Amino acid sequence: MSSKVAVLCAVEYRLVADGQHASVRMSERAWEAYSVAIDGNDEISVRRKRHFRRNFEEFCGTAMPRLSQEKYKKEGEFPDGYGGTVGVYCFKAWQIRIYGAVLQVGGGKCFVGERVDASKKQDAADQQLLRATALDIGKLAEYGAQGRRRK
Amino acid sequence: MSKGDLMTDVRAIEAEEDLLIDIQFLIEEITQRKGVTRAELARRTGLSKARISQLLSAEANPTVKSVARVFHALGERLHVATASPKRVKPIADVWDKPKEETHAPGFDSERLLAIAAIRKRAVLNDNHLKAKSSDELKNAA
Repeated sequence: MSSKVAVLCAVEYRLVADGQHASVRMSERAWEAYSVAIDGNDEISVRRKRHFRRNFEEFCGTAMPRLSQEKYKKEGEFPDGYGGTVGVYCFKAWQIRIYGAVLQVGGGKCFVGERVDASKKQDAADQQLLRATALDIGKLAEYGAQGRRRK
Repeated sequence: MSKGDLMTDVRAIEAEEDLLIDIQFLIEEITQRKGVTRAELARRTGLSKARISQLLSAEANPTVKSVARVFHALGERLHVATASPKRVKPIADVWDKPKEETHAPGFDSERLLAIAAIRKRAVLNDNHLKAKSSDELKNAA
């Protein structure tokens, strides 16, 4: 009996931002959590939404984004589930963190968001979420196409 | 709160965040360009690294003076200007321009000045005549 393995493609993820130099995409799970965080009419949601929008525009619109570590930061290298490691990056604003990795998607540079931490913690990133993000990224066809998987 | 009030509040909040973000982007651009580390920036400003980080975070609400201090520490001065396309021209701009660019066609400023001078002489003359007749009246009396 043959087993079919679903192939996950970042190019099918939701396009959140697009520019001359890069794009931002999110998995449906990440998008749903992100939407909840920014869609409120309260003051914090409005501020949060503005920051993420501007940060995404900066990331996508220029070759050298002016994003300080307070806005966009590499959280470290984590196992991809195939013997290699994924560099997990994070967009953050107003206590919401979007974890993902930068891949070549559709012929261009793309931040692929997989997990959102909306627990509103002030301190360090959630290690469990970082590891889960790396495993999610490892399953993507675009990641495999870059020859990053070791087994 | 009405829908209109809510939209006004949203726009105002977005304006606040846009200015903060513009300042933060500029600080990051300058520190990258000049190779100023976070530790060096903290030393130059007299602020702690934690305070610098706080200033660059989304939740920041820096004072104008602390922003000025950071730019000064980076060897820069921040200029303030609006982005509105409607700019009021200072008077000097108008006076420096040739007559053809400041007045409507057919307008003759020299003619008007001449008329004004004539009127002034007439007023002075009138006052003189009034003074003269007053003196004559006094003398007659």
